Amino acid sequence: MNRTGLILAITVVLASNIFVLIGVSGNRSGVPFETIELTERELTLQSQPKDDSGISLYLNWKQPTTEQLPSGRARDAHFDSVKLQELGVQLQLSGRLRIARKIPSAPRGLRSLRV
Amino acid sequence: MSEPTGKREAQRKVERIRAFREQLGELVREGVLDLSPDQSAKLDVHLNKTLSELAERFDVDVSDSQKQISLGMLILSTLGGLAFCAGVFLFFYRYWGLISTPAQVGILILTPILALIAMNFASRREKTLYYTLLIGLVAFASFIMNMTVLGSIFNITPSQNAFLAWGVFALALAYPYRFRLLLAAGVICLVIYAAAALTAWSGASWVACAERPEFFLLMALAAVLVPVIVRHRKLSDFAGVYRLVGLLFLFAALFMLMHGSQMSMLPFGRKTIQSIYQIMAFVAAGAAIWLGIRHRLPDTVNLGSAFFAVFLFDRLVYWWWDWMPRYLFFFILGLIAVGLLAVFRKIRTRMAGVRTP
Repeated sequence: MNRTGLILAITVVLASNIFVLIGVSGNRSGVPFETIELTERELTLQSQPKDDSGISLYLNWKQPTTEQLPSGRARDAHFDSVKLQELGVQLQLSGRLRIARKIPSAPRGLRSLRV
Repeated sequence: MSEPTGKREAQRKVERIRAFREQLGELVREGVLDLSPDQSAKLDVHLNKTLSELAERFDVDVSDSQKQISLGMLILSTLGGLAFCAGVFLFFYRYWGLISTPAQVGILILTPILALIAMNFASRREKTLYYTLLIGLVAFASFIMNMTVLGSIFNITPSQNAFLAWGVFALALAYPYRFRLLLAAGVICLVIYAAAALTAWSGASWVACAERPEFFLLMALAAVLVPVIVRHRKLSDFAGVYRLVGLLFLFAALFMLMHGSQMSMLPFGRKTIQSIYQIMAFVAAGAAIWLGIRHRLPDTVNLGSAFFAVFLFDRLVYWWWDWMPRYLFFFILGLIAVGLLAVFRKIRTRMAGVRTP
């Protein structure tokens, strides 16, 4: 067996994880600017298969329907960081978030918002 | 006779020896060839020795029954691998929510590393490498799971860099063990990464790379050219993998551009772009067939022929389906098929003429 391949593969695994975890720690290093307390009203438990023990939290938001938009197409880009700031959410814009603003999936940029 | 460098080549050599023996027996029976008992015994000893050496070195199948058992083992190992992966997935699915986040991260990192160590261990104990491939696939799948689940836990913005890591990982496993399946997976990941990176550099989100087939076109061409630039003398099977994966991306990108001119970055009108890519698609498929015949690459010829037929059928439907009666359309389609058969028959006859001295 070629040990170089094994070492390279392990290095790739470790380097990728370190890279991701450094990003995660940087992302979580800030002080939360807002704390939201969620009650059972918001956190309704949905029925889960017996074999699924995972817990997920999703943020749902409403957006204009197709009929409400003049262009005739629903675009969640309306709910971008500018709109969020108008609504009172203070976003710490990182370079990546600024790019994310152009993307239809902009709410993914809510990396610095802790719940 | 040249020494085989891999199991596939060794198996081909075994097939040649078996065919030679059958033909020799037939010639002796027909009285065309008359070998003395001494010559016959010497030939048998030599061929048996070659077969046993090949079986010892590459663990090839030297009989039909062995071949059938090997096929059964391959199917069994694939099914076993799938069942094993499903078992691991369902196990974590059942208990994942009860594990703390640091432990989850630890499990995600350790799973591919442990699979790699197990793969190395298995490769030292078997010649067939069935289990090694199986564990290699588990290692690759667990590394994909590692990055995906980590991103999900910490809500990380998806990035094209994951494809780079997966691609390098797959190549690092494919080259030492000569695994074509992992090489194909690695090349696919790297082509996606490069196309996504170009899309990101062009100012769009990398996710939009699927709407920029021209970047895939460039990267597919690069993949096809890899075996031309980097000669794989000892890994002769690998050149075909690069070529086929590259051609698949190339033809798929051309097919998309033939239909969706709005996805192109060329500064021309819609009709012009469509015409350019329609011509390019037929030229590319034709070139693949021609180069495949010239360099004796049957896989390339088959892929080129298949896409040529797809492009042709697509165009015929686009041009004629609406205004032509259905019976006439299919009649013309049949005539075109007959015409193509005549062309291929001519090429086949010419090739047979070249081969026969």
